[in-house]
Order: sequence, then structure tokens, then C-alpha cells
Amino acid sequence: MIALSQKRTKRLVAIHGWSGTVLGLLLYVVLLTGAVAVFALQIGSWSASGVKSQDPLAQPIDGTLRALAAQVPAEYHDDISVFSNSAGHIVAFLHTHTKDADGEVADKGVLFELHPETHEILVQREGFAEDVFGADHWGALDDFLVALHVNLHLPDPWGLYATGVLGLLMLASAISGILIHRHLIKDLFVAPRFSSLLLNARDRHNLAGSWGLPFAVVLAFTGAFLSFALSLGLPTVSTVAFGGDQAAMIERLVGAPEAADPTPAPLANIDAMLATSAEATGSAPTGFSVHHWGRADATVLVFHRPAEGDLTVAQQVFEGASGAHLGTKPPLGTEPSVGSAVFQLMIPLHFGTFAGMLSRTVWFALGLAMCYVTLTGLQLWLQRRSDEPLWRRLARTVPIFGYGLPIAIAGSGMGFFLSLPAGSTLFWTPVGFLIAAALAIAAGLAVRNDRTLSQLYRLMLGVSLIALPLLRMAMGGAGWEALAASDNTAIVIFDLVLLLAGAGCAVAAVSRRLPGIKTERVAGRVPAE
Amino acid sequence: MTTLITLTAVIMTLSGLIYLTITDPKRRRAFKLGPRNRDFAIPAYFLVFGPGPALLIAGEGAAFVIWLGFVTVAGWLLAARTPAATKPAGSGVQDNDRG
Repeated sequence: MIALSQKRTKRLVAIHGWSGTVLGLLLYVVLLTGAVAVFALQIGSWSASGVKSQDPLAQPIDGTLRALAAQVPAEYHDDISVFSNSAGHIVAFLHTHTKDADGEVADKGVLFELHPETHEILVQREGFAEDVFGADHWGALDDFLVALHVNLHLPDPWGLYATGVLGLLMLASAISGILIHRHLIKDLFVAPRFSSLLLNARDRHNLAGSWGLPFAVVLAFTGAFLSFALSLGLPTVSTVAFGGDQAAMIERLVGAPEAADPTPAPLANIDAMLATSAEATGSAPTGFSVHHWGRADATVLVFHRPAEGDLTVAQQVFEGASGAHLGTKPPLGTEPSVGSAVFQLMIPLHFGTFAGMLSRTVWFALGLAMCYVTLTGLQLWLQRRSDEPLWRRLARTVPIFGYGLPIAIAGSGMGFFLSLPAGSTLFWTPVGFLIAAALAIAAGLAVRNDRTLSQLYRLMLGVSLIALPLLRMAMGGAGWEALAASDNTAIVIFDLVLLLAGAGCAVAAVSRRLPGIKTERVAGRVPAE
Repeated sequence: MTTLITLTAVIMTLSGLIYLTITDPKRRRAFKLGPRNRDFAIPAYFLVFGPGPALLIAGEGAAFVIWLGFVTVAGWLLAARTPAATKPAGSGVQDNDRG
């Protein structure tokens, strides 16, 4: 496609191969958990066996919020955030900004969890945001999976650095892949050929990589941007452009705040503002925040899902004291700009959450396709070096990681459900992941025959996936009839997908078309798995 | 509405992709299937690429991005399928057709 000298091509092949090999398995972890995290909201709702209300903020909330505000110290009126959690409960966090034990600025206040219809207080916790939100046992599963994707559960900022580097690595692999694949367009419709194991592996990797190139670039770039923007970008911009003055930088990025006016002034009716916002955007609010409750300079920011056909959300801003609608608030600055528009596209393009289940399903498939490219690339690299003992031993890590990670993810779900009645999901969800991962690694080390290992892994994965919906219901989760009656059919579909996927894996475990098998039907062929 | 528009675009593109996959000369050579008439290649390319600009012009940004994502996955799955009439390997399906 692009004419390169032999020397340059060799160098690019080395960059492509080594960049994928050195951190390929970690990249696979981020990609697979990313594909799963696309459904984080649905996993949260599924693990909590559905929500009590599909639209938790539909009930008038003004009176409830005023009653809650009266119960907490006045300093917590500084900022109030309201949204719904995995179980569909309304969460109201009334807080201020103060320094924690490490001297870092953090949110501290009182968290209320409310029934979405009756507004009865179900949970009340006081403390720093990290502690009060970290104690939400209903969200343990989706939080665990999202954090695994975002920062690999490494401490800040190192986790974000790690995933940012992996994003850049994926970008380097994608760009070098374009340059070294000489027949990118001509080979777009050529199925993997069977002439040898190595060439079949090359064809499989090239074909999946060629089709996936546009989104490999998009997902890698947006992922690296999101990781580095907070961990490295903002501190660097603060130092370089604002002489380290973070307040000045935030003022420029978010927009200068209104002049401070601590004069007491009652907040206008919140329900009226939410109704105006819903009318302006054409979608129900998903949450809102009140800045400086009870003061003349109070502002209310209302959040929505993207409107039909749109990629991005439109935040609506109101003057708190009068309830006047001030219009749409861009995410960066106070006026619409190209920079703000591009910034706003990063999250929807990375997570694919802009058009409900349709976009999520496509993004999930794209994530799995990227996993396939990564694993086949690793296989290809290792097969080419199978004569060397070290590389041959490392080849074992590909099936161990390839199958072990989904088994471990299913294990985290089992840990979640088994500990749900005891309320210890925060502990057992990661422990379930580790136990399942340890079992998968032990199987990979103990079973020497590749075919037997593949069968065992597929069986383990199949059984784990089938166990998840059964455990959900066995541990007190709602049954299909009750879920359908409460408009939670998505949970039923989720159960069915898991059962079908599990059955598919179990059938594949006993299938005759496994690596290393040569049946009469496929004699001489290298199966494309 | 987004779903309907996206599905229409996807069906148009898929039909073009299926035609191009079945008639692709290199694919047919690689699997010893013999040449096949490609008279409708230009309309097929139009079907494949046409929905993209149409969605952008119509201001359907979300539908465009979903369409693009769907096409890359569906195109790969379609192309990765071994032609049904392929003879078992070792009987002539070779990898020496790299041009």
C-alpha cells in the first residue's frame, strides 16, 4: 500500500511486534474489561436485580432535598450532587471541599440513599467521598470492572499512566500495522488460508486488524487521552501555562465563576428547573448538582443523556436563586468552541454509550474484535519464535490469559452474588476474581496438552457464565416474571445472553474442532478457531 | 428513529459487502473457486460507502458512528468466513497468492 524500503519495513515490523508483545497481555486486559465496561450501567442494574424505578428523578424531589439540607451542617451546602445508583436508588451527596489526611483537597459530606418512589432514607453515611461512595455494596461489581479497565486497580496516578501508555502502544501498533501491511485493501476480503499454521495465524491477525483499524485508532487515541488528561495533562498545563496556579487554570477551563455572593437567598423550586431542562433537551434528567445552596450566587447544573441522534450530552445551567434558565453549558469554557466540542466527543467515542443498547452492543463487539487482534498478534509473534525454548514457554501465557481473564471476570460476578446476602460484596468481588484467575492459571500450568487445556477452559468459562444468572436468582434476586412486570426486561435479556454464551462455550468444549485435532472432515486444514 | 436509520444504513452496506466478498477476485483465486462476474461492483461500492456521507449530511452523527462501527465488525466476520465450496486445505488452497 505504502512503498517502504526493506530496511524500514523491517524496523516497522519490529516496532509493531515488540510494542504488541511487551505489553500485549496487559493491553488485552484493558481491552476485554473495556468491552465489558461498556455495559457497566446495565451490569450494575443486573447485579442489583433491576431498578425500582426506570426514571428515579421523575418524582418531585424539591421538598425532600430541602428536608435533607436541613439535617446536615451548613458547610455541606457548598455542593449538592444528586443522581441514581446501580440499584436505581436516588443518591444525594451534600458536601464541601476540604483537605484530607494527606493534605489533598477532597469532597467531605453526608451521603443519603433514597427510595426512588417514597424518598425514604435507606442509607446515610458521613465522611470523605472516597469512603462514603466506596461503601456502596450494590455497585461493587460494576465499580470493580470499570476500575480494572480505567486504572488496572493500581494507585493514582500510576494506574492512569499505565492505561494511557497502553493506549499509546495500541495507537503505535495500529499505525505501524497500516504501514507494514502492503496489501491492506486487496486482502480485505480474503479469508484466512490453510496452507500452514503460521500463515493461517498471520492471515487471521491481518484480516481482523485491517477491518478494525479505524476503531483501533479511535479507541486507542480516546483511551490514551482520557487516561493522560487528568493524570498528566492538567497538571502539566497548570505548570506550563498558569505557573502552577490550578485555580486560574480551572477558571479558564470550566469558566469563570460568578462573583461570590454569600448573601442568604432561598433556592428556587428544583422540580421546576428539572422540568424546564427536560423540555429544553428533550430527555429526562439523569442527575443534577447545586452549587452554593441557600446563597444568592447559587447555580444548578442539570445532566441528561444525549438526545435522540446526538453523540454528546447537553448540560443545562440555571441561576439558583431565581430559577432562571441560563442555557446550555459547554464542558470547557463558557462559550461553545471547537476544543470543547472535540473534548466532549472523547467519552462517547471511547465508551459508545450515546445511543443506548444499540451503540453499546456495537462497541462491545468492537472491543472483542480488538481483543482478537491482540491475541492473534501475540500468537503469531510467539509461533514465529517457537524454536526458541523461552518463547515456547511464553506461548502458554496466551491461552492462560485469553481464557483466564473472562473466567476471572465471571468469578468476580460469582463472588459478588455469593456475598450479597452478607453485604460483603466489596471484599468478595475482587477475591472472586483472584480465585477464578488462580484456578485458570493453575489449570494452564498443570495441563500440558493444548487440546485438553482448551476444552477445560471452555468448560470452565461455560459453567461460570451459566452459573451467574442462576446465582443471581438463588441469592435473592428477582425472577424473570417479576422483572418483566417492573419494566426490567433488560435484566432478563442479560440473563439469557449469559446462559446462551455459557451453553455455547460448553458446546465448544466438546466440539471436535479444537486446536491440534485433525478430523476427517477438516483433514489437513488448520482450523481458524 | 436513530435505530431505524442506522439499521437501514447497515442493511445497505451489508448487502454491498456480501456482493463484494463473494465476487472478490483475490479471495476466489486463493480458494480456487474460479472467477465470477463483477458487473455490479460499482453499485456495490456505492451501497457500501453511500450511507456514510448520507448520514453525515443528514446530521445523524450518532447513526454514522454506529454504522461505521457495525460495518467494521460485520465486514471482518463476513470476510473471515471460509468460502463454502472450498476444498480441504492440502488440496490446493495456497498462500502463494500475495498479489
